[in-house]
Amino acid sequence: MEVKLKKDSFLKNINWRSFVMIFVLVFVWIIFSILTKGLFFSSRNLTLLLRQATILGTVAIGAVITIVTGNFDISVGSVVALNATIAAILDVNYGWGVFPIIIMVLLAGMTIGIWNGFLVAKVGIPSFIVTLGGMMLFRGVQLLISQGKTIGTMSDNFEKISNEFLSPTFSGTIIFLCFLLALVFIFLEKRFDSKYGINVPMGVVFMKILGFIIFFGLLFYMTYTYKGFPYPVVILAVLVVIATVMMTQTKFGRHLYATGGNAEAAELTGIRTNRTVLSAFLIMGILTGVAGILLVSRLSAAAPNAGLGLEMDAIASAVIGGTSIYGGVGTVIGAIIGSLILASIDNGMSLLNISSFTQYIIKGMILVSAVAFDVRMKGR
Amino acid sequence: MSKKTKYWSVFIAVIVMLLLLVPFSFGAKEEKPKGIMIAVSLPSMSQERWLIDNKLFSALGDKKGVGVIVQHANDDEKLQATQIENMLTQGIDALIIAPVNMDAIKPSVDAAKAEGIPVVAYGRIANNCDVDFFVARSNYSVGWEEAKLAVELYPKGNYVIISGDEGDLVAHEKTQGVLDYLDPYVKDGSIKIVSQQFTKMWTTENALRHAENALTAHNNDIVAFVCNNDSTALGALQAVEAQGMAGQVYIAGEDVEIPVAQAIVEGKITASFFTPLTTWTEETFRVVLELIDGKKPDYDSTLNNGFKDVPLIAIDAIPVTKDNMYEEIVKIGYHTVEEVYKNIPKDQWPSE
Repeated sequence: MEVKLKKDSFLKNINWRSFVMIFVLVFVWIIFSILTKGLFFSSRNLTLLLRQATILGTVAIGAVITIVTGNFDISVGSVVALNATIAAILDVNYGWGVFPIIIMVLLAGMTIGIWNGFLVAKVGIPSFIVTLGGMMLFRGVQLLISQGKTIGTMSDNFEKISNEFLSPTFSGTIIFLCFLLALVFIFLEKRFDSKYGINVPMGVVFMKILGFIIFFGLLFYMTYTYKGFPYPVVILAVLVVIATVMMTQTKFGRHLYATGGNAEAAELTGIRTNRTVLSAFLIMGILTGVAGILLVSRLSAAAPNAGLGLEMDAIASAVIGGTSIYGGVGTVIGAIIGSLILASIDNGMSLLNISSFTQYIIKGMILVSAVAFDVRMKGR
Repeated sequence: MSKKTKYWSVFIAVIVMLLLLVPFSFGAKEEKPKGIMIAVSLPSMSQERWLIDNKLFSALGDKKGVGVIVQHANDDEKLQATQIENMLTQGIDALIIAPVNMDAIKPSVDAAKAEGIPVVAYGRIANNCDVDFFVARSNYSVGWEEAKLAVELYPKGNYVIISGDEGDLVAHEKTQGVLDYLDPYVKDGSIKIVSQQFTKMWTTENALRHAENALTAHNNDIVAFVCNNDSTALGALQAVEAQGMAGQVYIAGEDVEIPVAQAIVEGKITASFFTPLTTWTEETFRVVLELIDGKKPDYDSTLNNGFKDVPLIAIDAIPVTKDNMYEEIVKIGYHTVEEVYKNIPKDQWPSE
């Protein structure tokens, strides 16, 4: 009887939506690998694909965090552009070093996040309106301080942030250590479960191990046979780990979900929802700072129309990755998978030299299907 | 139990498929595509012009037996960087770039140079980087040719020069071409330049004001309006039309935009100048092939892009008039017959 119970909850615990999206991602990869005669799956392309997805991935994390609290941030593209422009001006016109610029840009992002959060949480304006205003406001500030011109070229050190790699040996070692760590976790979890009399079938444990072998094996193949991890991918990986731990293991994380799930109930249980929402926007602000730095470093310049439409791609990534637009549901990993799907479509189509028109059609279809799935699940 | 089995089987299917891919891609690396492959990165698709470039480059590739891949970047710098990265992944032998943003293309050029392949800037220079060659349009020749045609048609009289925005180097280059060609005629007194004004933002409205003022000041005694581009030429046309002089004075612009093309076939504007895309793409292709062969192509001059003096070939402009409109513009697909000859009775349309 007990075993039966556990089995049910195990199946319930699987995020089927995320699982479906992993499947879509693998499917997309297989299709492109076949069409490009393996070129898509070469370690070089996978490495570059990951790097191409980093800017979107970074803001997609922020999108999940805000959408989970039931709010949208559509000022992201403009804010990222503003942050990138601040970095470019400090570098090109004032000759600041890399670290002072990074700190300054993160502070700028944070300030903007607090501004948005304050208007939403304390003043009580709907987030869509606040950030729609922000979208225009921050684009305007960006155009004003750049005089509508492209600001570049960045110093060599700054350019390195996006264009350098950790050495293959070093990357390989990190991957191996992470793999060992994952095995230790599985072992500890199993022991913990057994201790409290929960009998997890060996099959499940085995499956988890197999999953990790594939995941880390793929990373190892990708990095070790090309140039190693690009810096931006390392940065994103660190952000993903921090955000995941924050969302799933901390009180603040549970407050985020509770606020989005049912704000009134959350308030009644003593959660200060206003503060939670403000914090969510603050985190989004910091992430736009990171994205701004990555963007300006990738192009070695800040352009007036940088980041245009980024907010929509970020929301799309989150939603494709299982975030509910009604709030209260969503995972960081899901959003990363979502952004990987979008970046893979860009990348594969580009390798095949197919026009960008078709890309929009396919992306739109995936997005709508994902939401359809969401709505149906909710309806049950 | 059945649900679990399903989960398992899906999972195993995924693993098997992934494992199948690995040998697949190792095979791909060894088998490098035979023959030369040239990549062309163009800024957008929303302007028809770049679609014609696409066609012309592809046709040149077919003619020379060289593989050509062309991608359009939707006017998005980041997308262009990604596309170039992906084209490099395909193992190309040379890269032709028309940057979306001349100042934000450096990392892409660096990446191509790291692969050791030649990079040629097409139409727009790439700044602050090691680009091998620049095939440009010659702005100077636009002004020079405009003045030459004007003198052929109106060897004596008062001339007005309507230049573009003063802050734009292009306007200065074109104007210099006009002034240099007219210089001997001005000296012998046959031609008098009665007005030379820069037009803020290149707008038709501002150009119209310059033209009106010149007509007023000289009591309509003006034979030629030499304009830096089509939008300023349209301003001159409006001023001239208001005085009932359309078709009786020389007006020339540059770019052959549709409204001007229509005015040309109606006989209201004399000519618009145009850098022939066929010559332009052919020259670019020739330069790229020479660079691939390790040769040093001849060049007209150099242009400093902030990193080095880039060798440059400038393609001369040609006049497009009523007589060659069909041949030069419609035939290559720059504009359609319907667009250009809209205001002309259908029986007078040119035929093949």
